[in-house]
This record gives sequence, structure tokens and C-alpha cells, in this order.
Amino acid sequence: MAVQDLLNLIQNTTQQISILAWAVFLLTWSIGWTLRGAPIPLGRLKRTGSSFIEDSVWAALWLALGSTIFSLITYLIQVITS
Amino acid sequence: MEMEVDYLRVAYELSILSFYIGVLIYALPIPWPPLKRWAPRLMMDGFFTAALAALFYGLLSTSDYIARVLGGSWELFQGWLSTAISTLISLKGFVFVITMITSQFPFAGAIGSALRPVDRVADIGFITIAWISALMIIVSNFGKALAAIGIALSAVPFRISRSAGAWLLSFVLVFNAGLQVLPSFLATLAEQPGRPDPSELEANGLAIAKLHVIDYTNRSVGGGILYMYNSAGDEWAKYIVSNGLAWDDDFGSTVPVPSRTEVYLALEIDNVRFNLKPYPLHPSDYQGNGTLWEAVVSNKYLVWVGNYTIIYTTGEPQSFTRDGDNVSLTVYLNSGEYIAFRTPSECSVSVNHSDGLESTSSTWEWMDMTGTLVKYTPKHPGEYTLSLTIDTCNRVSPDFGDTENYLEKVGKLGTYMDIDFISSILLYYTTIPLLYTFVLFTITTGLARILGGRERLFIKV
Repeated sequence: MAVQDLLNLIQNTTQQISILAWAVFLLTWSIGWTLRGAPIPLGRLKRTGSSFIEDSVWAALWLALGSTIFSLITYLIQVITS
Repeated sequence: MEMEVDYLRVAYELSILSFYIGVLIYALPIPWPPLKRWAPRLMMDGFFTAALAALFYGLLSTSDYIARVLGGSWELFQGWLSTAISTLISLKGFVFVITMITSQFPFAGAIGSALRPVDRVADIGFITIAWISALMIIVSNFGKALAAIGIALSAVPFRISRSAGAWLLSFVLVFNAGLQVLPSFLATLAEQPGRPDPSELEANGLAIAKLHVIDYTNRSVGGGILYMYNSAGDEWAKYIVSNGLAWDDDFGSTVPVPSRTEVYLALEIDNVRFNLKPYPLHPSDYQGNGTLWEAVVSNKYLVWVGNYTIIYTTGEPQSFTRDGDNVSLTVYLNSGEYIAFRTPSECSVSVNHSDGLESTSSTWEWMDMTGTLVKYTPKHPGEYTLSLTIDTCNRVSPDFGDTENYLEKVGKLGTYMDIDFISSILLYYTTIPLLYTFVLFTITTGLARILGGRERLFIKV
């Protein structure tokens, strides 16, 4: 069925992107701390490191929250339609 | 499973995908602001379209509720559509019938030219109705699926088809409510035009005839009004009698008459009415060829007519002599019968009569004229003679008003070829509905912008 195939494709892609996002979060977080902790006295480099850490933490938060929010929406739809 | 549910699931899954792509971009260790700006956008788009998908049925219910609050419903719209189609078909039928039954007559070309605008108006009306029907079919039959596709398109990541999706969703929401309200909207702005019914004219037929109106002395009746009735007493025509012939403002001395049914004719002169024989006048009473008929109608009790001075009786006329302006009539009168003359105030007459007649006089008013009525009744039954001489007579000019011919009265030709009728048809079935749909398109564009579309959305779509 075409629609089901499309849905599977989107779901798989979403799943892969979700896994990738977690991996990228770890990578960015690591790079961020690396840059921040590196013995290089460059303020700009340190700020970039802090920015990476901040972005990665926010991304992790949204990854966790997003799953919860979409689960909540799915639940609400099921409640309303039933 | 309904088609829209599949599209809604696709929309919802695309929303989640958009959200996770946004999060991925958020987490990317690339400090490039144009890329990073997409992160919150995609996340918000994901939440927004997911909410739209969740509220899908609520949005459609709200649209229906607004339609009901504004006094609309699909039943009302269907009723309006049926009326519009039947009215426009009647209009086309009217043009066809009139063209068909007048096709043999010399004035067929003129009638055809006069009817062309009516026919064109009906065509334009059909095009408008077809356009609005198409919108109605799209919205009422495929509205849910289209709206779901709209949400799915809005949910595609990176806003690739967001404008088209927002417009599609807005289109369904606005037209779902707007089309249902259209009949109520029209009712407040314009009056529903009447519907032509050419069936009576088609059933009774149409011929062109010369109607000669004469008095007892076989003189042509110089003036008066000739009324034509059907058997139910409905007035079918009003012609002026001029030099003994029925005359119409549009057709002149050859006037339209029914070709398949009998009619009743009456002559009105000096405020007295005479039924004219043959009574009724049947189609077989006419003479002449296929395109021009001819009939002579008279009333023997209307003895003499001269410049609106008339002599008439309820008795049996015996003899009549005339010498210039002197006329003499001999009548046998029973008790209760009478002989009378009416003369306008512009004329003065001298009268002589046999002994044994008692006279009463009164005045009359008719068509801006005034005059005298003198009535003679016998003391005993017998033959009586009345002699009348017109001494002087100034010009008499009654105001008969406009004539109303059979084609105009029964075919309602005047009503449906009238500019007001054509305007009202155009207004009710074309101009206002078209303007209304354009207003709905404007609202659609506005709502689409609220739902995430951009400017000039309509042209892009």
C-alpha cells in the first residue's frame, strides 16, 4: 500500500535522524568540552566551545521533550477519536 | 478508512520528522548561523503542523458551525443551485419558444435580436453556476481530503510546500463555510428574479391577425379600446381601435392573437362595454393565409359610432338611415329595453324621437373624456325612432394609455426582455456570486498567511 510505504519511509527516516541526533549531541558536547578545556588561550575558541555545549544540551533536552510531547499528542488524538 | 486519515497520518509523521531534523541541526557542531536558524523554525513547524493534524476535525466542525451561525447550510445551497439552474433553463426555454413560434412572422428577426441579450445572460448565468457548482463539489466531496493534504504539505520539512499546504487548508475551511452562506448573503443583497413560464403561450399558439371592428351599420368603429380575454376571464390583450382596426403600439394594425384557442373580445367606448361577435372568437373564425389572419367582429346593438358619439340599444334594430351627420334609427322596444346615445362634451347634437319615449340623462367620464348619456325607455312596447344630428364637434382626443399585446401579456415578453429583469438575473446569478467567491478567495489568502503562507500565495498556487 502506497500510503503505508510512505509512512514507513518517514518513520524509518525519523528514527534514523533521531539516533543520528543523539550521536551528534554526544559529538558536539564532546567537541564543546574539548574546545573549552583546550590549553589554547583564544577567547573566541572558548566561546565556540561553550556555544557547542549549550546547543548540544538544548538539543538533548528537546530530543527528550519532543518524544514526550509527540507521545502526548498521539495519546490526545486517540482519546478524542475514540 | 477515510482517505483523509491516511493524509493526516502522513502529516503527523512529517511533523515529527521536521521536529527531529530541527533538533539534529540544533545539535550540529557547525557554528554557521544561516544553518542554525533552521533549527527552531523546524521544531516549531513540527509542533504547529502536529497540532493542526490533531485539531483537523475540530477545524472543520468550526467551519460548519460558523456557516450555521451565519444562516447557511448545504441544503440551502443546494436549493439555491436548483432554483438557479431551473430559472436559467426556463429562460433558455422562453427564448426558444418565443423564437420558435414567431419564426414564421415578418418580425421574427427583430424578436430574435431583442431576445439575444436574454439568451446571453442565461449563458453567462450557466457558466457562473457551473463554476460555483465545481467549487461546491470540490469542497463538499473532497474537502476533508484536500484539507488533510494541505496539512501534509505544510508539514514537509524545510517549508518546501508550506505555502501551498496552508492555502489548500484555508481554501477548504473558508469555502466550506462561505458557500453554505451564499444563499443567505444573496437574499440580503438582491431580490430573486422571477421565472419565465412560456408554457401557456406554447399551448395557445400565436398568430398575427387583422381584427376589423364594425358597428351595426357596417361602419368601421373609429375609436375605442378592444379587450381580449380567455375563457377564465383573464385579460390577454388590450388594443386600441383605430379606423376600425385593432392597433398595437409594437405591432401596428396586425396584432398578435392565440392560434390554438378561442378568445373573448369586448369593445369599450364612452365608458360602456360591448361584447363582440363571434363570441368567443375561435381560430376557425379567422380567414386569410398562414402568416396573416383576418376577422371581422361586431355588436349589432352598437348601432352607430361617429367621432365618439354612439347610439346603442337593448332592443331589436329595425332600420337605420344616415345622411351626412344626420342618423335615424328605428328599434322595436319591449318594456325595460332602451335606446341610448352617448356624446362627448366636445360635440353638440340635436335629437328627435317618437312619442311614447321617456328620457333620462346623466354624464359619463372615460379616458380623460367627459360626456352626456341620454337613455330613452318606452311607455309601451312598440317601434320607436330616434333621429340624431351632430351639429358641431370639436376634436376629441381620449388618452388610451399603452396597449398590451397578447405576446407581451401571455408570453410575458415585456417582463423578461425588460432591462430590469436582465439586470436582476445578472446580479443574482452572476455578479454577486462571482464577487462573493472572489471575496472568499481573498479571505482564503488572508487565512493562508496566518497559517504560514506567504504573500502572493494565490498566484503561486
